[in-house]
Amino acid sequence: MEKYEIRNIDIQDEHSRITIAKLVNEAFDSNIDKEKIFLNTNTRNKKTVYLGAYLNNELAAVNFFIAHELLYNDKSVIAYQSCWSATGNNHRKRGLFSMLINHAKQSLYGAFIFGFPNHNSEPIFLNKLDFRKIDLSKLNIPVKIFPHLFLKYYLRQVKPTYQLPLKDSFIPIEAELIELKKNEYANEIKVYESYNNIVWGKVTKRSSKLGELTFFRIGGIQVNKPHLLYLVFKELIKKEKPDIIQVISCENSSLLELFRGVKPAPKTEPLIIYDLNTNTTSSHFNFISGIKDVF
Amino acid sequence: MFFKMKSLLKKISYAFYKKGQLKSHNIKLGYIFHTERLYDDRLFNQLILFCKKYKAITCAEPICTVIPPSNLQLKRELNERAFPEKEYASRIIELSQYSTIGYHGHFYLDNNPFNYNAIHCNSFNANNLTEQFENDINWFEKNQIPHNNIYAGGWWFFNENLLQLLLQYGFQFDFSFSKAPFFYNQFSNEIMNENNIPTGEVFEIGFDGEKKLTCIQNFIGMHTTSFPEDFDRNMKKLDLNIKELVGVVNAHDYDLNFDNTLRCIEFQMKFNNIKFLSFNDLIGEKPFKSIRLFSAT
Repeated sequence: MEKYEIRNIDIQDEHSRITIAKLVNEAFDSNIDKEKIFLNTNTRNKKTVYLGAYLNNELAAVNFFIAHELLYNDKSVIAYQSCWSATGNNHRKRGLFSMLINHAKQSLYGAFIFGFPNHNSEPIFLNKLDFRKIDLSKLNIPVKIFPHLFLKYYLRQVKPTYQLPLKDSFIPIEAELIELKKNEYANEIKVYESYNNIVWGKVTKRSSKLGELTFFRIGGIQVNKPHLLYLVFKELIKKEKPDIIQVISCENSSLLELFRGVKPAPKTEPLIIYDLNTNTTSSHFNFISGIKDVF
Repeated sequence: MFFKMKSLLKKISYAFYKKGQLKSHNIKLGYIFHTERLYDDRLFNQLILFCKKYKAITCAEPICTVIPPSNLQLKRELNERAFPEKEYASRIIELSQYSTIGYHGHFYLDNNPFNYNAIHCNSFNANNLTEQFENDINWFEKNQIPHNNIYAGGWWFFNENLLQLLLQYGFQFDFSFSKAPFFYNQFSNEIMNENNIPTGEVFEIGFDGEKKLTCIQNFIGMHTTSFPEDFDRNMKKLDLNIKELVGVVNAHDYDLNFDNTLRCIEFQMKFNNIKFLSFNDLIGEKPFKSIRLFSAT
C-alpha cells in the first residue's frame, strides 16, 4: 500500500502553480490556465489553503479551501469553501479526496467548511465525511415589461423602522467577493451601490421557449438600509435592462425575508456544511451564488 | 426639464402652504457640518464665511466635525493634490475660531478606501475600525487639535464596537443617531426602537461603567433648494410626537448651499420660532433616558 502524504502547497510559487494546473487539466481533460486557478481562489485575506496529496514527492491529488471572511454577530470569522478537487489519473480510487477533506477537518482553523458539491461528490460529503446539507432557494424576477411593478411585488417594501433579522446569520463580506470575482472576470462583474446597499452579479444569456433571455444573476447583496434596497435594483434594471433578475440563496438565508415568491431550487447544488470551531446548527447562511467558486 | 417642472410645482403648492407648520413645537436646533474637503480653497473660504454669517443671524456657532488627514480616503485626496497635511491642520485651527470642532469618522474594510469597502453594520471588521479610529484620535492629539469629545458618524455608521471605542477615548457627545430614512443605521434604529426614543429626545448610552455618550439626534439633512418650506415638509416626515425637540441638521462642506441655507434659517427663526443653539447650549439639554447596553464583546 502506497503511503500518501498531505502537504500545504505554496500557491505563490510558480512551479507549484504549473504542477497544480497540470494535475487539474489531466483530471478533467481540460486546458485551464494556472493563473485562473490562482485568481479563482486567492481571497484578499490570504488565508486560502491549498492542500495536496503527494506520493514520493509527486502531486497526486489536490483540494483547495477558499478562505472567506464572514460577519457573524458583528464578529469577523473565516469559513473555507472546499473546491478544485482533482485526482491524477494514476492515483484514482485510493481515497485521496476523503483523505484531503479529513485532513482539512483536522487542520483548518475557522468557523466551518462549506461547499456546493455536484451529484457525484454530494453523497460522499454527506454519508462519508459527515457534512450536512442545506437546500437552496431560487427567485426569478421578471423585469422585461413593467419592471418597476414586478420589482415592487417581488421585493418587499419595508418601512424605515424595519429591522432585518440578522442574528446568527453568516454574512459574506461582499467587497471581498467582488474583488475576488473582478480579479477573475474583470468587467463582466457588475456592481451597483446606493445608500450603503450593494447588489452585484453577472449578465448571462439563455435560450428559452420565448427566445434568448438576458439574466442578471445576482452574486451578492449587501443590505445596510433595507427600506432603500429597491433603489439599487432600479438602477440595475435601468443600466443592464435584463429580462430576469435571478437570486439563488440558501433556503435559510435571512436575506430572503426581503423577497416574495421564493421557491425551492432542488436541481441546484445544495450547500453543505461541516462545523469546525462554531456550532452552526441553528445559523442562517446568507450566501448568494456569487460566493461559489464556479460563479 | 424635470427639475424645472418640479420647482414650478413646488412654487405653486407652497403658495398655498401654511407658514409656521412647526410652530406648535419648541425646537432647539444646532447646525452640524460633516467637514471633508478643507483642502478646497473655495469650500474652505465659503465655510468660514458661512460660520460668520450664521453667527450674525443666530448668535450661535455651528459645529464642524472634521475628518482628520489620517483618514485613508482623505490622505489619498491630499496626496493627489499635493496638499500639505500641516496646512490642513492649520485650516481646522482657523475653523475652530468660528465653530466648535468635532470628529467625523469614515472607516474602510481591509484598510482600503476603494472598491465598496465602506464599513457599515453588515460590512464590518472590528480590527479595521479600531486601527483607523485610533489613528484618527492620535492625529488629533499629535496636532494638538481638540475634538472636544464630539463625534458624528460618517455614512451614519454606528455600532457597539464604535460605541466602545468612543467611550474608551473619552467621547461624550454624539450626533450620529437619526430617524431620517436616508440616514438609517441598523444599530441606531434598533436602539431607538427598543427604547421608544422619539424624534428630538436627547438620550445617553453606555455599558456597565460610568462612562456615557450623550446622543443628540440629527433630524434631517439641510436641503439645498430655494424653498424654505422644504425644511418644514422634511421635518414633518419624521414622527414629531413630543413638543420639546432638540437636535441638529447637517450638511457637508461640499454640498452647502450658502444663500438658500441662510435664507431658510431666517425663515425658520421667523415663522417656526426655532432657536438655533451653539454646542454648549445644546448640551445644556439634559438627557431624558439613559440606555445601558450589555456588551456582547
